[in-house]
Amino acid sequence: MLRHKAQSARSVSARVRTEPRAVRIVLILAALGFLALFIFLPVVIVFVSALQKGWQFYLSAIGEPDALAAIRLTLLAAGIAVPLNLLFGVTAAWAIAKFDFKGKNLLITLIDLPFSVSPVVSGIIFVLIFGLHGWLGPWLDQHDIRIIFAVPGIVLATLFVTFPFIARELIPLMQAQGIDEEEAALSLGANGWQTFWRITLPNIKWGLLYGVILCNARAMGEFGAVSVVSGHIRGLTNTLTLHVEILYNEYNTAAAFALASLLAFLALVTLVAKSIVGWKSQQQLKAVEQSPPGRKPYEN
Amino acid sequence: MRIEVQNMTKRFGAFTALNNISLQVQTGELLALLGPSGCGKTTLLRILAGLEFSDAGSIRFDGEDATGQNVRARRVGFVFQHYALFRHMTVFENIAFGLRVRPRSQRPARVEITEKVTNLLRLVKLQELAQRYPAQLSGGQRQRVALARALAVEPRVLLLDEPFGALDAKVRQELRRWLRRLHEEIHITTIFVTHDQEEALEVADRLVIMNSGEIEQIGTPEQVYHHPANAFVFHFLGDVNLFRCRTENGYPLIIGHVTPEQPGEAEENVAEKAFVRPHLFNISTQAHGVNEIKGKVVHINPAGPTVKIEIMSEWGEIVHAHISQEQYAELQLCPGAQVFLQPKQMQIFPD
Amino acid sequence: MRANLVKKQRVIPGFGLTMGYSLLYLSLLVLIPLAGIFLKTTTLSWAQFFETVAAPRALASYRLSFGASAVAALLNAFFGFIVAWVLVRYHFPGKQIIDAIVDLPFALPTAVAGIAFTALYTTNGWIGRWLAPLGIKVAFTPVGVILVLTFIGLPFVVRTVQPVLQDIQPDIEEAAAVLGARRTQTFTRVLLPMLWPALVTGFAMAFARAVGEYGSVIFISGNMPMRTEITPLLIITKLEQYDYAGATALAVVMLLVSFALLLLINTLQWWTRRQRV
Repeated sequence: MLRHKAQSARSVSARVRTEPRAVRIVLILAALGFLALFIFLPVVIVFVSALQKGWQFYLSAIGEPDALAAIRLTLLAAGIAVPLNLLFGVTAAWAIAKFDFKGKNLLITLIDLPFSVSPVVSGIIFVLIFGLHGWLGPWLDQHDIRIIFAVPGIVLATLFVTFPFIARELIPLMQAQGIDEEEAALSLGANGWQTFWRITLPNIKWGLLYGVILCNARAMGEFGAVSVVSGHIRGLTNTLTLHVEILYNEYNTAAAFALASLLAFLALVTLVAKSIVGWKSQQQLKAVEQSPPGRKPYEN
Repeated sequence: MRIEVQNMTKRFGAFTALNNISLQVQTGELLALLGPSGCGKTTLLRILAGLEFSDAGSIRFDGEDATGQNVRARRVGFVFQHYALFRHMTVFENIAFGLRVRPRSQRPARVEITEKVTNLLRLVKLQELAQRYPAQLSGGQRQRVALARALAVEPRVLLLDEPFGALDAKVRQELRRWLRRLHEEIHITTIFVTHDQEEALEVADRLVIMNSGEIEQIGTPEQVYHHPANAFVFHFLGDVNLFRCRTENGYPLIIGHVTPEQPGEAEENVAEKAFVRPHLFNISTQAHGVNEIKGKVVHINPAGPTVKIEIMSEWGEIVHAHISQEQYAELQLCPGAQVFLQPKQMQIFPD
Repeated sequence: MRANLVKKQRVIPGFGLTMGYSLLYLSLLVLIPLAGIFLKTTTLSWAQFFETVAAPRALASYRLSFGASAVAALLNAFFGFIVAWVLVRYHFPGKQIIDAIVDLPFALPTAVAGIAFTALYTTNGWIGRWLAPLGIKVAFTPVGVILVLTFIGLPFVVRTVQPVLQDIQPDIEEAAAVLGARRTQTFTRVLLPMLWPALVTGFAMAFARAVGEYGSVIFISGNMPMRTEITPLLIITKLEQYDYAGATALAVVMLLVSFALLLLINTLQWWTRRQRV
């Protein structure tokens, strides 16, 4: 009797908080239809078009020397950009989350800046500095150093567009965690490094990994910025995305889609990894929220 | 270890947290820093730990200057208000941490660490929970882990920030007595911060009562409770009724109320304020004549060891009086009854 | 800040090192290069500058860039709201996967999105072939630009509205119902005002992202000057013609727009946070 009452009370509440069945179905279908049209179909067509000429062609398109060179360059650019931005992300988050200083909000905004800059503009700023007609162009030319239309330019552009990814994951996480545990470690005799490696790092590892995954996806997939600085020299300064463009413009659609399918596959892997790590990182953040509020850095 | 604090001042921007504080703590003493929130007690404790630095003044540990020493060099044990246990480490690992981070030359062998941690676990009665994570412990258990972790490094002084603040009433009671016993056992110089006067009076050897960055009184529980140095201390250490009074023939005479919110409004011929604790009234239904407050009973709460009575005085303010259950039965009071209150003991402070 | 660095003793170590390195890296990689572009424009006279940024071809490109971005962001605001609502409020099989897949536009390289959409909407593509007999052309028209920009900005609205919707306590709707509100009234008078700041923020973010987008658009737009040429493409065109001054002038316009949008979004986020407290 009592249980029955409780149940009916809950279902009344559920009814208050939801819509008639027909409305629910329409809304769900609208959402699914929208996502099917804008996300599902484009991904499917990439894989279908990639295989339109069969596996044989697919594999040879990927194994072609220029394609391999493009893959290598993409891996190189990401391999440099991710660790450097990781180092920056950790140091910036440490400075911002563990200390108080004036201008902190401005600094956070400046770190986010590359996000709001158009990829094309991100490329141009480096052309204007290092290009033949740029500030340092003539000097670089004299010393036979090439940055624009060469690998360093591509690395620089990738660094720029992926600059905020890891920092912006770590800053809110470390701010939420406060400085209690670090103070405890120091009072127990740990030095700065020991405190970082043994206390801080284990507490932020999932958030850090999450940032690395996002940073890597963008680094490997960037198009606009590297397109400006690359010069599109086949086998030399073509990243994977740029090579896709070249093949597509040469009406070699099947090969273009074959390489595009690699990138699409990378995107799917990223999503899966992101979901798993994101879930773990949420747990970590929740652990913070459940434990009492950490002491914030004090104005010193 | 003996601690001397001299002329300590600390400001946060425009706010003065500590104003020229001086204090001595004797070896083996259990000292409470007591005061309302924002009085500077936690700041003082954190400065002693080296978690914050003062703007002026000095600290000496056993006569040795420690003012500029960093937190690692001070070798203090600090128990944080919210424990600050390392979430990703087991209870065992938490307690062992301070030993494991020592430079290799001073680090005990693995076996020694295990033995030491096991002893500490026994001391805080958590042997069975060694492999648990902090999230799996109750508040009281976390508190004891935090304490064991602080003790593991053999600190010269133990500092506790609101050690029982985050616990519910029952656990708090138990832990208080336990801390008292623990201190008798290991006899380490201990300073703890609290805003709960009952807790401070029950646990500490000596109390330091603080208010707005200054020390109001230092003394044993007996001294501060029975001989409060000033109105603030008296007020802070227990419930109190506040009256205006006038001196007549050398005796103070209650002539009305001072509401605490407007103490400055006293009339010119009123020289003093009189404080009376609720349990220090003679209460009767007949007038006796001398220094009495006439009033009507408004509310009676008979639940508990004493009966709490609210009386509306002839001057139109509420007076609180506590009487024993026996007396209550004798008087047969009920709301509306007229009563006369005679203070058994008054504390007079100049305005 | 400097006073603190010099005078104050800090308990947590590493402030000087981490702050110093962060500022150095930020300056070298972001601030100095961005400042460089503004310095470069100073070599242009005002007349030159205006001639470039107000040329008919530039104006046409702004119209397309901002117009298509606005339409795409509106589409996203509408459908993104429904997606967020459905993901938070309803249960249906595969919900977890759908939730994860919303982020795909963040993960999929824009160039891949560009060729995929083009393949779908050309006259013999999977969708294009059904639209062609109806006289609707999508690829190589502004409509195609709108579609890819919708894809690019898709996660923003969902991801800003979703957490706010999740935070709304059941008792608020129950209170409205107890007070006699119909379900539609509860939605329009109670829920929508609570979600509004997040929705506007999501819209602004989707718009800001779309305005700067390049990779996906160039494949589907056909890149015809005056008709389907977006501003970023015009910048590249000028660059390829070695018209550095022109490219810089347009880039500065784009940068100023981005900064204005960033300021707007920061204000909106502050507004959202204040509403949530």
